[in-house]
Order: sequence, then structure tokens, then C-alpha cells
Amino acid sequence: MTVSVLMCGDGLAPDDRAGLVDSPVRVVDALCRYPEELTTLDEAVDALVLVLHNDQVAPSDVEAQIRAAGLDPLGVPMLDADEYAGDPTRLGVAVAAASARAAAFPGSNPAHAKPVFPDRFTRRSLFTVPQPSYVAAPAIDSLVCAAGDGCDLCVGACPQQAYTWVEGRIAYDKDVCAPCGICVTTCPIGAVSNPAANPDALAAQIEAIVAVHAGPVGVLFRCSRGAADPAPPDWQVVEVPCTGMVTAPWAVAPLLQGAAQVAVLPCAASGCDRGLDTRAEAAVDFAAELLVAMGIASDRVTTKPTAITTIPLPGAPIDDPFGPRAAARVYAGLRTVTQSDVAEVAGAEASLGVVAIEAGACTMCTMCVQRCPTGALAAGYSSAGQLTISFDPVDCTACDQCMAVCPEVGRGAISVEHVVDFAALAAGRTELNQSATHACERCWQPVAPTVMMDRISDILGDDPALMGHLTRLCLACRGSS
Amino acid sequence: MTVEAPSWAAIAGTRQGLYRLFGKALLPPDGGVVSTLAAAAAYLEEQDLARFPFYAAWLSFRSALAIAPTVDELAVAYVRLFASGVDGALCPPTESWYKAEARFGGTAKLVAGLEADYRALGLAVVGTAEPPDHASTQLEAMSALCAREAEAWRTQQDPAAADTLEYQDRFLRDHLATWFGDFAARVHHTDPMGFYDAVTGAVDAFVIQEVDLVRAMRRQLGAA
Repeated sequence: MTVSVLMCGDGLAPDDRAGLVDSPVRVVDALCRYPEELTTLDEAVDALVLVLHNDQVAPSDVEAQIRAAGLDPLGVPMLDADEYAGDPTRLGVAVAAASARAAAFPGSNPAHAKPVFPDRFTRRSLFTVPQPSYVAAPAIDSLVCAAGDGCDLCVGACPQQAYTWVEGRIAYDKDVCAPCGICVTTCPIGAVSNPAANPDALAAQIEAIVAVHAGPVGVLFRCSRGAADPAPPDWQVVEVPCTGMVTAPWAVAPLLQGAAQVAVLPCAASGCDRGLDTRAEAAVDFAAELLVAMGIASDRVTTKPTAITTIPLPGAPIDDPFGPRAAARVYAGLRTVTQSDVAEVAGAEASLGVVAIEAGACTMCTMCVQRCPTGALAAGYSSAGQLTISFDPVDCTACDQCMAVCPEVGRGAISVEHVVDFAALAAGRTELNQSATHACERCWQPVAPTVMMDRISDILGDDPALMGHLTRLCLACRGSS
Repeated sequence: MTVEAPSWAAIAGTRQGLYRLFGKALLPPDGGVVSTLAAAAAYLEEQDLARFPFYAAWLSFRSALAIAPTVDELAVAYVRLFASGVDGALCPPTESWYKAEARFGGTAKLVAGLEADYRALGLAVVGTAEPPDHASTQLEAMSALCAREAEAWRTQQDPAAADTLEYQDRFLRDHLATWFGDFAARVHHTDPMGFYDAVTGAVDAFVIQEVDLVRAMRRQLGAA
């Protein structure tokens, strides 16, 4: 994989320019104003990183030149040259990390591109009509999406109401969407993707930060659209569409990759214009609580980055730390490296849960199983012929969909505790409930679980004729009789 | 040297050409079609297409044109994909196949509604053997609307241009964008890496882009 790094030479101090001579960065004078230079890229280049003066760039022009060079603009990290002025060491780390991110970019398609018109003007754009540029937006893989089973987690999570559930599929209004990435971290099966928050690319970027930075380094999650304060020394920026999308496992995962500290930065002074700061703060609060329970200082994960004062935890890289359903792996990894014996930590932001079924109230209708988007709840038959419902906490994201669909939830048939329960995680899949099934008098196929028959009997006990009709034969035989 | 950003009239003109080109590519092939398409594509390539995210799909389309299949090869592929099969065509290029229940008169109802929509836009389907809900007919209709928009921008009739954008927005969201993705996916599974896979892939990417772009332009004009 060949990654090219181009930097605009405008305003570059002679010392800084000299310091870049032996680096992978190629300085191109006036690149911000004349991005046509991008078309001179070597055809063998697979990925690109740009270091530009953001306030001088006409995004649509740069994007056009990137496409003309055969690359995907949504996969080209653009660093702000002004942020790294006078600090070539930090620039070097940022460039290496951005290169890793670009190299790991899996590609996008037109559904991922949302047109926006500029809300500011450059010297060049003052003399032309406004041109749209394209920002990364989410797209749904309908082959993966579980909307057909009733899942509507993205609908409830989206702060812009860009999603609606319509007859077993998710309708997405890109026009309404202000891409924040919350749908990406909410979807437990990875059906929603956003090129600006690709799990593989993020993991690669943080790995590179840790590998290249000399000494302990902090990873700073920062909103890509909000005004931001500059990062303190020894902190490296990882841009995400909105820090409101950062979950507690995301906030902890960089520690396992070798970062000394993690900060999830709320938007500067004026705050988030969409009111999503509180989401980031809640995720950080839970992560800090978890760390304290494991005997680690809570400031390893923070919203207020200060000077790095700690050394990294022993490295324990895990697979796909930012992928869907990574929470169990991340928390278990953290428990291992800290050698903690903490049993459980509860909290709404845990991103993990434990489902309990009240045997006396559950009718084994298995609607919870059908709705569960991750397969944490599963149904099957035991060797003794009993219908069983089992549960694996590793796959549970505490989405509460099982409670939403349970017809007996009012009787307490099912409940979900939002908790990181290490004993349950270690135990793996366990049986929650079971029942014999009532067999059809004609074909001996199952009619319904016995506990469901009992429940129907409770309700229809005073109508033995109807009860007999419902319980004697299965649906198929009832239709043919 | 700096490349000037295109005006909205120029963009509308380019979009008109793209719709027309793609509409032509989805008609039954006749002699010289490939060279005609290649010449039109070469002209459109000069219109700064790299400004739009469908450019990668466009390059695939250009590559398919560069292979220069013969008209006989195209005719065989066209009939196999779009015109014949045991249970009808493998990949019917018509909206009604994807959205209407034929047994209950759904096709006729959809086509009648579509013709009414054409009339409301000041258009009529004449001079073509393809049905009103055929992909090429719908692409040609969008081409006509883009031509109208380009003319409005050129003559500085901004309200008329905004009106035309609204018609395009409605037509795309009511018709073309609602079924073309399913059609393109069907072609992709039936004719992977073939000429018509490249065509429908490019059109699908273009239509996705158009739905977003037209709405964004309307919003920019304060009309959406």
C-alpha cells in the first residue's frame, strides 16, 4: 500500500520546511489555492493524506482533484496545517497516523456522500457560483439490517429523526441527517456504515499513534465539525463525526492499544449545537467508573485532557476494538491487564447487559429471540425435546428490544440489566427458560409450548370449546380439518 | 493553471447530457451505438465530472465502453437480460415490474399514473417503442427537465429554474430512485462485469447522487 502525503507550503517557516526534507511529506507550494497539483500524483499511489490550511481551501475543488487522481475523497484525511505549525514532531505523528487511517479505509459508495454547500467563502469562491462538496454520511446495508425482524434501534437513537421504520425496512432521509455517527455505534450488527467512522480505520490510526509517538501519548477523540481547542502536548487527535457517538467501550479501547490516556472532547466553548455533549460525558463517566472499579485512576479517560502523567497499561491488543459488539472483548481485556477481580459494574452506558426471564411469567413465545438483533437470545430444543431459550451476554448490547416486544413484559416476564457482569461473560451461553411443547393430536407436530397453553387456559378457562379448538390441533391441521 | 468552477447552468447542461447518454445506453442497441456513446462520454468527461461522487462508477462505464463490444454482442446481452426469459425478462428495465402487482391491474395503474406525471411536467412519450415506465424513457424525461433548468439559469429566470428543480426532485423520488437500485442489483447478479452491469452501475450511482444533489440545490435556493 503506497500512501502519499502532500502538504501546502504556504506560510511554512523555513525551519519547518527544512525539517520535512527527509520525511514522507512532500511540500507543494500553494496547494490550498491550486489543488490541480493533485493530478500529478503517481498512479501507483493507493491512498493520500493532505495537510492544508483549512480556511483557504475550497473543498469542492480539492475533492474534484482527488477524484480525478483516482482516489476517494472520503478516504483522504485532511490535517489542518495551522494546528501543527512549528511542531514538526507532532505533525510527523499525525501524518503517520493519518496515513495508517487512509491505508485502512475500506472505500465508500455514492450513498455515503452527502452534498453540502459552503457556509463560508474563500477568496476563490467569491468569484464563482457556490459548488457543493461532499461529506461522509451513513448508509445502510439492507442485506445485514435487521429491520425485517422489527429492529429500529437507529430510529430511536438518531437525534435528527433521519430514520424511520417502514414495513420491515429502514427509510433514511439523508437530507435531514447531520452525520454524527451515533447510528453507527448504536447498530449492534454493523449494518450502518459511515466512512468517517470506520472501525478498522480508527483502530489503525490509534495503533500508528502509539507506535510512532515517542513516550506516553494520549488519544483525543474530537468532533470533526465543531470548533475545537488545540490538543495539549503529547495528545494526538482522532477525529470522529461527533464525540456523541463515542461509547464507553470506545473510550476505553485505546488504553488496550497502548495509549496512556484517552479524552473525549466536548465541543469548544459554545458547546454542541445538537446537544450531544451529554452523551460523550455519560460514556466517559461510565468508563471512569469502570476504571476505578478495576483499581485504575479515573482520569485515564476524561473529557478534559491535561498533561500526560501516567504510563500506558500493559499492552493487550484485541481484535476489532471499535467494531460492533466489541464491548465484551474490550472490558474483558481491560480486566486482564489490570488483573482486577471486579465482579460487575452497572450503568446505563455499559453497552452490555444481562437478560433475565421470569419463568412463571414467560410463555416461551420466543418473540424476544426473533427480535434480538445480535443473536444473544436464541431458541432451540434440548435433547429431551424441551423448547429452550438461552442467552449469551457476550453478544448482548443492552438494547432492550426484547423487552419492547415481549407481550408479557407487564407481568415481569423479561428484564434487562445494563451491567458489565464478568461472571456472566465468562460463563457464556446459559439457558434462561424451558418448556415442554404440546403436540398436535393429529400430526404430532408442536402446537405451542405447554406454558403458553397454560397461559391461554388461564385467560380462556371459561370457554372450554374454544380452548379445545386451539389446543388440540396445530395450525396446519386446524386449517385442513 | 486554475480550473474555473462550472456555473449551475453548465452543471444542469452536463446532467442533461448524462441522463440522455444513459437513456440511450439502455435502449435496444443499434449500429454505431458504442461509438456514439463513446463520443458523447468523451465530451461529458470534459465537463468536470470529477466534481461528483459517482465519478468512480463513471470510470467503470468508460472502461466498459473502451472494450468496444460489437452491436451483435450487445444485442445478445440486451435480449438475454431485458427482453426474454422463461418467466419474462431476467432483469426487466421497467418501474412497474418492481413496484406493481400485475395480476390486479397494477401495471396499467402505475403506467397511467406515470403518464399523468409526464403530462403534468409538460412532457409526452412519443417516438419511442419503449413503455413510459422503461428506464430509458424515465432517464430521457429527466434529461428534458435538466435542459429546461439549464435554459432557465442561462436566461436568469431563477424562479423557473427552482421550479424545474422541484419537478426533478419529485420525479426522482416518486419514480426513478424508487426502483433503479433494485434493477441495477439484479443486473449485477445476472451480468457481473458485463457492459450492462457497468451501465446500470453508473446510472445507479448517478441517480443516488442526483437525489441528494437536487434536494441540496433546492435547499440552497431556499426552496426545500
